Amino acid sequence: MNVVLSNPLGPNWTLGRHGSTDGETAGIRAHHAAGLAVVEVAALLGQAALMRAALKTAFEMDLGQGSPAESAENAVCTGPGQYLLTGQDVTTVKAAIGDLGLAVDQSSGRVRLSIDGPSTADLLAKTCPLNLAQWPIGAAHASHFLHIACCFYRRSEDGFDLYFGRSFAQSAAQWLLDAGAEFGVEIV
Amino acid sequence: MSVRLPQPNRLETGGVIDRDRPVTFTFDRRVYQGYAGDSLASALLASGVKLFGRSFKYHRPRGILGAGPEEPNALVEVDHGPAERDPNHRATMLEIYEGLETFSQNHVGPLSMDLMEVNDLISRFLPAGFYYKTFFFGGLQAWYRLYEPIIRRAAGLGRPPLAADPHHYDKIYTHADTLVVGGGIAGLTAALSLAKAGQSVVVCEERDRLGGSALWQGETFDGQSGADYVDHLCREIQAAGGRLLPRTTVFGVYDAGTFGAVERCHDHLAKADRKAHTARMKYHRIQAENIVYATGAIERSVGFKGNDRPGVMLASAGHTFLGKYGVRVGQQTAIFTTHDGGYGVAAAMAAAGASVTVLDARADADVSVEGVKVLKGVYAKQGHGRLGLRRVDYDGASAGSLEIDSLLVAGGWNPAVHLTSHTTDRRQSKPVFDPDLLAFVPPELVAQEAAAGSVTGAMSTVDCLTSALAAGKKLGGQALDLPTVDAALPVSKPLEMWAVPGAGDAAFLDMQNDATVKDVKLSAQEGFKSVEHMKRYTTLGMATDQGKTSNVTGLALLAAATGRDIAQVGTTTFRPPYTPIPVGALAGHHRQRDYEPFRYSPIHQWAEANGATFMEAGLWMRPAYYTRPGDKDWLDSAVRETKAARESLGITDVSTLGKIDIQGPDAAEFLNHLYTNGWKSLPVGKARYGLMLREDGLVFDDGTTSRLGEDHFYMTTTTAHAAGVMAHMEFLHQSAWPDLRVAFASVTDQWGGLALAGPNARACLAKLFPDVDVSNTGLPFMGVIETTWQGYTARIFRISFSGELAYEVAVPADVFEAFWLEAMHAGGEWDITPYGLEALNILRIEKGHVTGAELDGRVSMDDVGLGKMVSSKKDFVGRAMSQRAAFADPDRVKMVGLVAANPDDKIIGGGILFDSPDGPFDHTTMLGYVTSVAQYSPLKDRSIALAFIKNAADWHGKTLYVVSHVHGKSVMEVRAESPHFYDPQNEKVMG
Repeated sequence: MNVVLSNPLGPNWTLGRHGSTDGETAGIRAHHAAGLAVVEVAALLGQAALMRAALKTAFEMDLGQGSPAESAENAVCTGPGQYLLTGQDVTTVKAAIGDLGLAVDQSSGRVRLSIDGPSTADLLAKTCPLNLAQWPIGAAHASHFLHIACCFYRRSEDGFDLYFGRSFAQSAAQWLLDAGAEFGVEIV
Repeated sequence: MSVRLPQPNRLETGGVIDRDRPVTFTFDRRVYQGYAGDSLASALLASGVKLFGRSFKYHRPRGILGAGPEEPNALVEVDHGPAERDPNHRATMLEIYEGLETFSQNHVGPLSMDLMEVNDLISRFLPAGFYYKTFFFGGLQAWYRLYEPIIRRAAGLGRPPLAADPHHYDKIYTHADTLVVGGGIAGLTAALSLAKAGQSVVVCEERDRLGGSALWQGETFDGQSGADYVDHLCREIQAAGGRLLPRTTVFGVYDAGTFGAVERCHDHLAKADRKAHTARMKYHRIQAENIVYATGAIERSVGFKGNDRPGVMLASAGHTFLGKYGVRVGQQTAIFTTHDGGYGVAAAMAAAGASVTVLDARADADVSVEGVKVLKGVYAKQGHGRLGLRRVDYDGASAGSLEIDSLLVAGGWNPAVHLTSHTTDRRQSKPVFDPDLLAFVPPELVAQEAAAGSVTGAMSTVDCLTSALAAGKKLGGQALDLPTVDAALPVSKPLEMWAVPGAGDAAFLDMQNDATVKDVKLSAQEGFKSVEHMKRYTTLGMATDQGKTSNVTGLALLAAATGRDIAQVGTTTFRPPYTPIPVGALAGHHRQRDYEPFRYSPIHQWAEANGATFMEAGLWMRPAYYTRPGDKDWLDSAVRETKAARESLGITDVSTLGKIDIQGPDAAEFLNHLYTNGWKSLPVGKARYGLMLREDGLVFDDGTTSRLGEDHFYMTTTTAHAAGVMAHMEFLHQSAWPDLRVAFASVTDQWGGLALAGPNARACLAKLFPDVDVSNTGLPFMGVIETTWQGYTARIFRISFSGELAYEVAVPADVFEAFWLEAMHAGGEWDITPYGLEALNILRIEKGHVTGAELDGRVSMDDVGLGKMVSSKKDFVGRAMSQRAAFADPDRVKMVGLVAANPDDKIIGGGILFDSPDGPFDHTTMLGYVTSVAQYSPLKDRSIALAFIKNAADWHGKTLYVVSHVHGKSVMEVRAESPHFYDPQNEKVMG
């Protein structure tokens, strides 16, 4: 398999420093997880608890009672009974959940950008309506990034994973660079 | 600049300006100097300027009235080139910086000799309602040709910029437990109480500095100066985690604890001092549980003749210029007051060296100031001096004249209650009139609201602080000690005097709109007695200042003129924005290229590099056509691409089609409910074309759905309706059929798709998938094969939109570009030709396939010739309504094909169909309309179209006429026929 994966982020998403060059380090660091395996699962109505139990058995994902705040780094809740699982392939996942729900490959359909850095909160205040103060580490939210549908996962105090639909990723990447320009964005 | 320009009215000391930083700027091209911290108004007053602009209607010379956001007169333009020409800045709010260039507005010729001042000379003939009464003479023609052009030329405040705004603007989502609007001493005190209790607090202050008048009024707090005490409060608030936002105007209060505010980040800075990549303004969308209104109060004037002369200003303004900026607005000053507050100003002016006389309207006033002459029971009767006040006549207990250069009017205070009336989300009540205070005060507030400071009607600093502590307590703040206030200024309730006896014309209430005492009386006299009617009749309270200094006085006079009390008259409704907001600030990031996001196909960059011209399809960018050397125009390219698909091999990107993955034991049943045709019998490995109806029986969307497994389907939708179909399915599953065991997910972005079309499509496909049997038996029409390409899942669908032998192949979007390149390589021997939407359109119109142009939400299945696609064995969404009698009406328009009679004619999309070339071409004779047009069809060697017409089948073979009313009623002869121009027997697609 020597197929070159195409770049969903457009020509302006290049490694290195963008926007403000004030300060030694940029306010925002950003990284695109190219080639990341993503599977979307959605429980049939009434089967969400059983599906979570199956995911726990198969992959040791502890998803609590199924609220978005009880997400995991590799299992991000996007809605009731719905998750984006990373690092798994669709066949394994489908085998694990069986008839409890849908499992579909989204490795090409979702683009994950991870951001961190001291200006992350300021960047999110410009792009997302959610209140960070009410958002514990390990929680996910389906919301928007400058009106582009986006699922957010908080991996640390100032570290977030942003999941975009692939066709929107170029606009999202450009807008992230625009919004982050005043802080400086280092693409790594 | 080392030269110091004269500032004759600047005192040696005083003010909170930075005297070590002189600032040079221009006004009407003349160079002036002020200091960092000055407003344009204070710096020009310091330099001896009195004349700032012209009034809107009568073009009367005007100076400064206020010192803050209420200013109605001194509107100026900041002009730094065509794109940075920004009108209607209030000189009192505009901070000066090095190199600032400003201009006065609303005059023809120099400011001091405005040619439009003729309006003032004939002002007696231009009363309120003049326009309504005058401009109907001569009828509509006179209006369009004479009146409207003249009025338009005279109308408007300021000139708009001439080029696109080069600045950028940000929107910020700001969250807080409590929003404090107003950063004066009361707002800061309430904020500290709340912040200390652990609340997250945001304080928005519209002026450049926090602290309000406490900064400079001279009162002390626990022995500290006002400025020191304000610093102390600010530090404490920040230490407790509170945020302070100066230069931030809360302009609107909305439902559910949402507030709009605009922060001005650049307007006070020279270009060189603006940090790169930062916004000119930030629009804060504030979400807060609680709000403290600490918005202060705005002083009001009194109606008397000539009260608009440059040099007549509010007493609080004169006080502010003196205290905050160290500017004495006059040498010979009179204070016309209705309450004790005027004496504090008088004392300050006297201490600054002015000669001061107090005209106290109260005969029984019991207050005095050393060194100040007081005349009791008198009022200002008339101000004189066209370009600057020279004299004031007074009357009352005694009469006479004073030769003065400035008159400060203290008519009482109007609490700034505007924000308390913006929403009815939490309460219905409006501000209420307090007859004791002679002012509107906030209504009874709900649990999440509190008011602090002079907005409550409190007048003394101690009362303001007491209300602030109460506000903090109400919203859960910590108890704080009231500071000891020394050197307190005198205050009292005002005498009720809205206008002086005998005031009429040229006694101005609304300075911006030139509405006078006489106008209000005229309004009442002519029957416009409601406050809302009076506002519209006189224009009092309109335009950029929204009557901040005039509304209450206007309605008090209306009450008097109609024999009611003020509470009965009520107040107009204040609506957002509190002060003008640039549209750019509201648009934020979303303009021009970034107005909305674009969606891109995985091969967008390849298409761009290979001559594609794109068109927007919803949010998607789709290739319209690919220009090759030798193509004359877009039609030439599209026709070349069409011929390639018909004659050899075309390839097109179908990645944008909506795709939905459906899984579950009841998936087939779910589709049965959704589509008009049956799905349970569809074998695995087969696709079927389906139509969805809305509940009303009209067609909603179409597409093919394939069965990939017993419980697994893959649906495609139109590009335009993808999200709508998904929402439709979600809604039906959740509300109508929750018992069906099915789940679905949008996989539009997961799959890239291409279509190979043409006689060589199968041969090309075989090269791409050498291990797959793609023969007519191995992969018959509507067959589906799931296989792999380079280890990635690939789905091959034998379906055709073009009417040719065709296949659609989907692979994961990550590898789609690589797959496309391989297909281009494999098809090289047949001169594989990429085709865009224009060619696709010609192909599908020739075939008679419908798209959104036909499925426009008004058509039934029968209308588009798909009436047979209905299963009678089951129920589905829209079935009952699709059997409506109206759908069987023979007069109903149905689809038909059109061919131009003349090979040179191009049928016009949207044209109307008639059976005669002679007219009349109107609704009584129209038969139908054109929906889709191919400007040239290679098949017919001329233009063809799809259209809808009454009794469609009867017209086949007959002549019709297409008339376009938007193209000068051009009449074009066409022949009607079946819409299936190309291969009606489907031999090509089946072959």
